[in-house]
Amino acid sequence: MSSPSATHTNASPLRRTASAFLRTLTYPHTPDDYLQALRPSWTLDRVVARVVDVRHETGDITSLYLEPSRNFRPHRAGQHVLLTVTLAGVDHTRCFSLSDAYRPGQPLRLTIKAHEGGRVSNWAKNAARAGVRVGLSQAQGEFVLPETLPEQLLFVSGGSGLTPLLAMAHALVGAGYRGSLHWIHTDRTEVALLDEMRECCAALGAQLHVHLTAPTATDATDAHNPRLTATDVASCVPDFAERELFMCGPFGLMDALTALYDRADRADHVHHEAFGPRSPFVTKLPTADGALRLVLAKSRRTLRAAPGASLLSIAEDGGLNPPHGCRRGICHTCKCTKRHGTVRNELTGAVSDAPDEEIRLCIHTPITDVALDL
Amino acid sequence: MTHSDVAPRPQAETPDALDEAQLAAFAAELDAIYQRTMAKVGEEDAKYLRDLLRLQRRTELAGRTALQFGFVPPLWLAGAGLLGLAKALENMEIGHNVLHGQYDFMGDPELHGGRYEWDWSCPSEQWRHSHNYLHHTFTNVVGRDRDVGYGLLRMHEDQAWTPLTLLQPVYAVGLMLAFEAGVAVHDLELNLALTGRKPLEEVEALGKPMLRKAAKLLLKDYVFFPLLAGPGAPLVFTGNLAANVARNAWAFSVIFCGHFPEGVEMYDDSSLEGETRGAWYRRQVAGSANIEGPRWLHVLTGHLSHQIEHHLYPDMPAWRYPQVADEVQQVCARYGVPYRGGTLGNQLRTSWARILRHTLPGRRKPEAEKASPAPRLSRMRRSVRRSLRRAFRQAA
Repeated sequence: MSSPSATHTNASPLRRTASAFLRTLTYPHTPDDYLQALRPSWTLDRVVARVVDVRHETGDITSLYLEPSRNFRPHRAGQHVLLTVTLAGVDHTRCFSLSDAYRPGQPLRLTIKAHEGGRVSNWAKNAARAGVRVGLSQAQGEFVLPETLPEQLLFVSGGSGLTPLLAMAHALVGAGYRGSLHWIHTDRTEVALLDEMRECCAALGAQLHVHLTAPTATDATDAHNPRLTATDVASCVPDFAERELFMCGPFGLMDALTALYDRADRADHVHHEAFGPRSPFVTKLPTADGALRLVLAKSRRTLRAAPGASLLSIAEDGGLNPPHGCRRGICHTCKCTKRHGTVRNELTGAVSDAPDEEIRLCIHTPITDVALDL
Repeated sequence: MTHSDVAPRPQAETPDALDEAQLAAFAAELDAIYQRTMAKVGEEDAKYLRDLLRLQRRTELAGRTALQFGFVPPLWLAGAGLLGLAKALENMEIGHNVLHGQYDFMGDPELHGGRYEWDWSCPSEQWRHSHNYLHHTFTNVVGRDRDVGYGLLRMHEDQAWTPLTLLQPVYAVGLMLAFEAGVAVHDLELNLALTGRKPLEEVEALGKPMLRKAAKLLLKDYVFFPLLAGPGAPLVFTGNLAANVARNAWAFSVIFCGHFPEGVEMYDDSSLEGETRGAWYRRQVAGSANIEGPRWLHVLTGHLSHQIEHHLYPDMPAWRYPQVADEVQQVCARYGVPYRGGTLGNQLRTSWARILRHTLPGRRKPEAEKASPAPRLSRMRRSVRRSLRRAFRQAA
């Protein structure tokens, strides 16, 4: 499951010393390797969890309630975790935002939207049952409310992007927030957890604006209602630029809002969480000529690639299974040394031709032939 | 070409015996077995490895715990035995096989061939080069595959003889008992460095991470665990030593039975020129030998008892080798490729025979041996028995 994390900064010195000593006694393995051989739930560093409840919210959206091992450190609202599930013997790791604030002694909640071909998300929808053991990471991510809460807040979310913001709303309720909050949410047909959003907003005296692009299931075209634009946000919340912006939704909308804040010279008041890469990756290789080559030094293989396919999917199509996690550039499990070649980071658009550079396979596409230490 | 076109070739002892088309057909049949088996790899294999890991770790915990109470003699014996068993499982059925990438499909970063670190002083990174690459590519090519004699033993007539080779039986026993250190040193190619054929900087670059790892393992087994036992420290120390030596002797024996029993072929560089996939497969089969025995023996050897299948399919989960062995053997029989195997006792005896035979200088006359192997063998057997007795007396 997830790699042993570094020694906790907030663990007591005694615990740190004991942990270091146990590591020495179990080298080159870890104390968890032996503890879990006795009982799967006994861990020091590794975070594991048990599913305690599964709730189907709306059609494609499922909430998993997880009881984490005691070493799970309280998360800050807005953060995400890596969830590892084992399906037919194969571990699959994906990132999900926690959709509730941390409540001591209470299960964690992940709210997951099933999408086509998504192994973990469809497992959550169709197969997850109470009692199942899963792997988890500590909460991570910088998409969190500042220690001192801003007077005025603006949340903008799209689809399942509401999950980190819902956790923040719960945290605001818990903190007795007295400032002003506007929350604009856009979705296609119906909103999961709408009642909960409403309750939070009511408790906070906040304004909730919901924008549906396809109000009926039978007429599910974007043409029916136009997409939510930055202009819509600006007209809905005229004092938007005065507010601290937290957003998680479509890239186009987030880019446009960032530009608006830029123009108002408020760029440092924008916080965002990205779900997935900017452009969908090609996963099937074309047979046409002009394919690039991907040279894998350790496995002594050369694979055919096409511009547009991520290095990870090229390697997988070639029959390899390099370690990877989130497939969206977050967890760094797939980090690998690129010996030479030019690649583009699909998250940032940055092009790099540096030799011997550590790159994440899942978010880089080749522009030239590429040699990897794989 | 269909199978019936291929006449059985009982004395097909040289690669020339099969022509290009036959070698291609041979490769295609072996490839088909591989593809059919790999298509099945999944849940069952993951469960096998996870169950084995749990068993290995529990065995190790039990062994180390028992040794803490080593002042009770039966507990010392049980502890050393369990710890030796656990180490053999970790190194052979788990470590060696995981490092080949047999379980990469599981997507567990800690059980990935590129990341797993094993309880063996040779760092995984270096092992992947010297073993997965050099040994598995250049199997039994004298001068290329450094596993031929581990840079210490003369296993073939083409290897140079010096008067020091006369002490070979002593080196062999030493290598057997300290095999972990021997393999680590063999990776450094210290022998080449000492004779100036390898730059010292290279040895240093490889040696540093190895020393760091070896130091941690030595401290664990010979300082920290003994100290935990307080007054029982000497007993934990000797128990750990016994476990490590037993594991070393076992690993050495299994590995030498894999490539050096009587009849296993050795090659020179010329066999690599323009070698096709079929010829490579042929060399892997003829350059390896299996050990026959019950299932527990296969598990304890890390399924290296199926050395032939392992060399054909190094990244197939090893516990599946017994499933494909019959088919592989049938294919080999059809193409006249020698598929060798024997009981552990027999393979050990003939491997030691090879070590002892090459203690003396001289080249064997290959034609003579082929023409009349039987009398030669019995004559040799007598001399081997004598030499073995001598060797063990010296070791004791």
